[in-house]
Amino acid sequence: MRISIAEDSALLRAGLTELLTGRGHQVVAAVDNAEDLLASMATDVPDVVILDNRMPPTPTNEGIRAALALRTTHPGVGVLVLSQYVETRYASQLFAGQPSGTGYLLKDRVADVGSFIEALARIAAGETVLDPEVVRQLMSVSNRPAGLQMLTPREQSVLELMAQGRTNAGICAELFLSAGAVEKNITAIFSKLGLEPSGGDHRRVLAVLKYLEHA
Amino acid sequence: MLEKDQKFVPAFFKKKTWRAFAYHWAMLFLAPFGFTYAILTISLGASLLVTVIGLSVAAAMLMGARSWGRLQRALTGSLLDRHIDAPPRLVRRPGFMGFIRSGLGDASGWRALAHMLAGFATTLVASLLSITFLVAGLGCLTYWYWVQWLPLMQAKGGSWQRGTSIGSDIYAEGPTWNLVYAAVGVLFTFLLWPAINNGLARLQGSLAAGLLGPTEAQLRVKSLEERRSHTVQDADARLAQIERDLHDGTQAQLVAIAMKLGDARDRLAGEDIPENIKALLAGAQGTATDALNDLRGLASGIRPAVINDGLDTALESLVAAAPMPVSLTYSLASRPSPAIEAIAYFCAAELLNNAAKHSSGTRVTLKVATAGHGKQLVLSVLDDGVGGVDPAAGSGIEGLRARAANVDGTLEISSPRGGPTEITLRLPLS
Repeated sequence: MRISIAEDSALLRAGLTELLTGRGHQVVAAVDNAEDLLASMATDVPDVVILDNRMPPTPTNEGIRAALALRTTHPGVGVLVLSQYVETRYASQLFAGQPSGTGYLLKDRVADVGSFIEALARIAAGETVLDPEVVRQLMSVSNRPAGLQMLTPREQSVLELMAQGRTNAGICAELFLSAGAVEKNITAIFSKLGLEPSGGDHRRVLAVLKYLEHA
Repeated sequence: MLEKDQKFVPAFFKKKTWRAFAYHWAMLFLAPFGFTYAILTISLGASLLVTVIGLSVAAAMLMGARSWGRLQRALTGSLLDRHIDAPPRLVRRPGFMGFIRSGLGDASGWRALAHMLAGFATTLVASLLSITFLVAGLGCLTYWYWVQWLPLMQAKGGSWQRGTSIGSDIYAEGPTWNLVYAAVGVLFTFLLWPAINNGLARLQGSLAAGLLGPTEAQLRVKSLEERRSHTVQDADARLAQIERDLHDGTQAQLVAIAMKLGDARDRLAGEDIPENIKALLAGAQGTATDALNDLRGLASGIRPAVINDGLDTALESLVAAAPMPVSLTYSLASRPSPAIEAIAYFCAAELLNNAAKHSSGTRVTLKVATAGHGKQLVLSVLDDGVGGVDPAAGSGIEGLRARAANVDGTLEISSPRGGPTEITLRLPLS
């Protein structure tokens, strides 16, 4: 993959670059603020961009804002926002409207190198990656939209894993269910949330976004 | 420039002198009203003293006396160029008895009353002196002209004289006397009158400043309040800085450690190395991740970074992570100061936590709105639990109250046995 990084901590910037190049990926830009990253997109367009959320100048949610800007200027480029804290407001801003090719993860997830690289690849391929912590918060009682109240606990855990970007096979393994049972649960979730059958995987994203709308 | 140009102009021709003169006239007309008001306040209050009505009338009239202060300060400000600071605003306590107590206990109201009484006497003296000196001066100055209309009087010697008589048998008539009178007129009009007029105006101004401005104690309270406000803001800024330093420093370093350990483990995964070395690396990475989690909790306890993005955003995240359903209504049009936002946030966090832990309720309503014409932030947390919250029982309520009191905020608790519990935090918005 070709990757651009905006991260204000020099230590983490160097660490990420080393981690990615060590695994055969190419880091095309590594800068310490969002503006420079947006400028670098003019010359070299990567497959995926890694943004630290909190960078100078404010420093509050530069990453989210840069991600939203990139969505309009470079819709084909995947964007992963890393943050020390996950905030539901930021997540709903980030995923509002067009969620494909977007990810939002806690910073420490990079320590799990395998999953991290996999998440990057999924984002580059246009999928959505949500941090389990965000999902946990979104699933929390406060944010349950009407449709969600009707889900059984089993369906809820399936949805939770789905939101984290697991495949059906992954969900099977995690919950010790048969492929048929997972399929049945997912169909039930879609119908309870009022998601009409349309473009296959897209409905999975929509199911997750159902909460974000209510967050 | 103006000052310099006017330096050699006699005081008589200076604007300042005539404005002071206008002040004396204005006071001459106003002082009787003030005097009447003061007498009325005292006699009404005294005669009805035994009844609550008497006290409330006196309280209301004392509050009204503050308007006298406002009028007088405007007058000295515009005519005497003497700016007098207003005393601190009256803080009206709630309830009928509170009204009486705050009215009768208002030092500024009593001082305004004193000014009405004392000012009446000083005004009479000051205005009459000033007017008399001016009229006398102008009279002498024009003596030569109006002397012709004085009646003829017969002197002892039988001659008919015109003019004022000085002593016995001396009549001020003729060019010499006209000159003497004119000289006296010049002395009065151009030297004595301006000095007396302006000097008395200064004294009147000093009386107003002494009685209608803030007292030493009030000034001290004001300066202490300002200093405390600085301290609160300073402390908040320092906490924000600590949080930022943790984020940019230690947290980033820990993430880097965890990442490098993860990188190492990943690279060694396929290699043939002893299991205990692998376990060592896994343990180190786990510890780094745990430390990161602990630090994250610690840092957000110091001052969550999300507050920088607005109290509404911070509360949304708080509500999202709450262990029970919370419905949030937020209706502030503009952002409060950072210190107020932080206090409101921490109170909301603590109150939601309390509701989840102790109330046995199922729902919480969190409302943030303004009150008092936008001068107050009101944050209320309402739960449908069992009630009976005892602030003294160490639920952290007292700590919140102290935190609110730091910025002159209040915390009210309504929690009857059987519920519901509503806790209302009020913070000033400057």
